[in-house]
Amino acid sequence: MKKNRTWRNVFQGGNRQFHQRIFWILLAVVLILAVFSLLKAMGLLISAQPTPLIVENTIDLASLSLEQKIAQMIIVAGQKWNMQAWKRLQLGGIHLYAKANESIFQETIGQFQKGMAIPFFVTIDLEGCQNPFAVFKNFTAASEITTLDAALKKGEEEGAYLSALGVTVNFAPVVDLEDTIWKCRSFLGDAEMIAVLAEAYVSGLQEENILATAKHFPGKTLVVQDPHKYLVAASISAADLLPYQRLSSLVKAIMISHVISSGSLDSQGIPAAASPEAVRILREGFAGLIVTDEVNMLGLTKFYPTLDKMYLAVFKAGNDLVLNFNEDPYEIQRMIAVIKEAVERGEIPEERINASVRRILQAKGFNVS
Amino acid sequence: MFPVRRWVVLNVTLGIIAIILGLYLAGISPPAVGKVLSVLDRSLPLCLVEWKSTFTPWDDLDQCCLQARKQLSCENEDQTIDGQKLTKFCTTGKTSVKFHLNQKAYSYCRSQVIW
Repeated sequence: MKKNRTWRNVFQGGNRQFHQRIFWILLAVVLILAVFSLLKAMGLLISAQPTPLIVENTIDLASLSLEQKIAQMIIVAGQKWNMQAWKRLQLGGIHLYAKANESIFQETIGQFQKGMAIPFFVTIDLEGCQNPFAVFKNFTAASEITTLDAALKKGEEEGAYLSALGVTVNFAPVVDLEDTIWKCRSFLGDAEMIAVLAEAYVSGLQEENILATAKHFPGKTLVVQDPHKYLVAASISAADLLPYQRLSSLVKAIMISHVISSGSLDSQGIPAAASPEAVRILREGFAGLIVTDEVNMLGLTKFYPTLDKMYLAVFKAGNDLVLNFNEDPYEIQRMIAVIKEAVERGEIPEERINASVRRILQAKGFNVS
Repeated sequence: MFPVRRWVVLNVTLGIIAIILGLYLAGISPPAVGKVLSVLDRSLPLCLVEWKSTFTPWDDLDQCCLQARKQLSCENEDQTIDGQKLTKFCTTGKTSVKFHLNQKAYSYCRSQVIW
């Protein structure tokens, strides 16, 4: 009875001043929390790395902190809302998705690069049928290119367009021998024909100062797979590897997939992107950048008990650049911390990190001492 | 001046908002709506790639989600292909490849860290 009266008093009684006081306190708390939440969402609670010292276009690797070096090895999805976080972390690159017009692309790239001592790689997927500019500009699909001249011209046209926008890396060409899913991403023909067309395309693209990326090593990523299978296995033939062998002295980057490969390239039961053996074999004849496919795919994450173990595996394997399109800046910051700790306890040699960062900085046009 | 009852309602609402913001700042996020919908939906996820009016199923749903995410927009659709009802398609332009998803696949994609 007394309790009922108390509750009635709370809702109807004259204790209005008490409720008003609580209201103002709660409002203040909510406003403070909202401001911090906004700062957190924009990555502004991430402390900025010091500006790297660059003298006459030369970077002394020893002047970079371990975090700065690891950050250079990461490419993230470049959205405007988390731009400040990526800039504070001084990441290696941003990947741009489709946008409504050219000026949005230019404005976004300009804002990302503004004030960066080491510019971001600005990466994109322009393959022809996969075209982030399709709403305002068309390009020919790779599957419609049949001559060397056309492949070279495609490379030159796309390269010139990307250069003008401020893009620096194109994740193309696709040199998988079969494309039974999209039916448009790869050049058509046998391995030799695909290799030759890809060579011409890469030449055209790189003439325009765009880094081309042959993908997806070691092949067979675009064939119909067994439904409900997270881990994708494929038997790789010598023909699958031929385009990479032909391109190895020309192309500036190669993307490595999550396929567990056997046959002519044995990833030893591990997804290729996390396989030291697969990366070692690729590295044997290739001095350019080795880039992982996006790492949040189940083909990779299901293979490891935790994200941390997956992060360690892809860095230990010897990749130069790791694509992580998780849009949470704090997860990217955490990935850097996980790798830093692994280097500090000797699990990953610092020289392994240095070798990749040297290649990245040189690809960005710096001298490295 | 508000009656007391309205003050109580306002205070309870603010309290709930404060708890949600506090949890967010502490790094604890409630399960995404997409994830919940994906779990509740018992149908099989479906992703179809369309190029020049040819539709091909893509079993690698994670890769499908990533490619769909890269497109300019995802729109509603209501069409049935081979008995499968599709509810969303993601594309950038008329000449570009399209990704068609059923509700289960779209909810799954929305719950991924890349979306």
